[in-house]
Amino acid sequence: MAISAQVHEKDNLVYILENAKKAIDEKDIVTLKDLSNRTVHSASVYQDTDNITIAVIVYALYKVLARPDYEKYAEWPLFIETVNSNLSNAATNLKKGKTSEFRNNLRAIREVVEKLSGHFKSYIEEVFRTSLISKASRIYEHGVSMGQTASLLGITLFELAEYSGKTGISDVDLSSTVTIDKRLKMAMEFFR
Amino acid sequence: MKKALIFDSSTIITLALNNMLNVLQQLKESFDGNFLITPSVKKEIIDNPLNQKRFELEALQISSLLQKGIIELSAPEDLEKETDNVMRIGNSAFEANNEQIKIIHEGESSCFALAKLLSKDYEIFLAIDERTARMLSEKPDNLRKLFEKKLHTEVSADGSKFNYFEDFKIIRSAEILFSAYKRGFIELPANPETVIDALLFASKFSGCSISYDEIERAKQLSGKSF
Repeated sequence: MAISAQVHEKDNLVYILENAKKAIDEKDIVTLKDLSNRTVHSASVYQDTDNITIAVIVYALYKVLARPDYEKYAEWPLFIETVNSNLSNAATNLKKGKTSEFRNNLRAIREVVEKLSGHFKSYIEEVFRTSLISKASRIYEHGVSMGQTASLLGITLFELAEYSGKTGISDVDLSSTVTIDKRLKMAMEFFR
Repeated sequence: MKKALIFDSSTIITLALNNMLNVLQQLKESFDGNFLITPSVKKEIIDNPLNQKRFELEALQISSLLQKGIIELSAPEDLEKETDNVMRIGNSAFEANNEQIKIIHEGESSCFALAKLLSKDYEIFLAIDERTARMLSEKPDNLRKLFEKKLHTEVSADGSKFNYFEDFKIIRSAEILFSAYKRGFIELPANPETVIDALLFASKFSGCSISYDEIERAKQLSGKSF
């Protein structure tokens, strides 16, 4: 990544982390979703793990907070406290250029899920997995191939194909290349 | 000249998710040609999903096709080298914010590479359901426009890189299913338009990049002789 782009990206990530924490405090799920989408453009171009990890975490938090009964789980306070403190520390460490500590903060958010138990653990794990696939689908939508996207996010092509098939990606006018008349004719002649 | 259809992972995945892999056996037995996959594609559609319970069955069903020789693994000597070449060219074709955008991965690249390597001996078709590789070959400037639209930034393209991807003949699972139906390999209790509607929507919802308009047009062509 070029130096000017690195600076821009660093500022962008700090903005997302700080505002994600604020949105969680205010239970502002609309802002959380917007912040997650904002990372997808950068993730599609730079394809760096920091952007992708933050996109997935913020989107997962949006999905959790959008569910009204999340607070009933006994482990919720521990979970959200860990998330909040690590988002805050991640922003501070990134601003100071402490990249290793910043990544440790992101890792700690993922690792707190492992410390959960029962239904809450299963639920949060599922939300993170779905968020991963959802963000992958958005990157594929931006024009990066299925194979490249699946590899980038560590999911299988089956998961990505199944999810993206239910989106409107194929119906974008720019996707239209060869007419189906021509393609059907080619196929019928090929199998003759 | 003998025919060969080189499958990208995306097309086999669409067929597997719809329990339609059997049409490959029927098509294979009915025409003089080969169905080929590369080692990279095998990894994506068999080796990796075998470790994931959700798609283990599909991986085993595809593996069975390979064992029966319906699809064949093709790995000529220069395939890895040519695959690297394809990735190098494809992944330096577009640039945004002074950054080259990595658009294709090993699996898709290996299909183009294998097609190039076998083109002297075979009439080659590619089966690709995913959108990006197909656009890169058939209308690369649309891919640039798509990036610009989605990224909200200027995207430049090195047109000289597009030459490599020109002139490939690409079909999708949608056309494979259409052909199988027209040849009598799919029997369902409905009129042709309804069957084509069902088959093509099933492929669309499993990842085949086909639009609603294309499905409508295919339905109109369902009674036509080719």
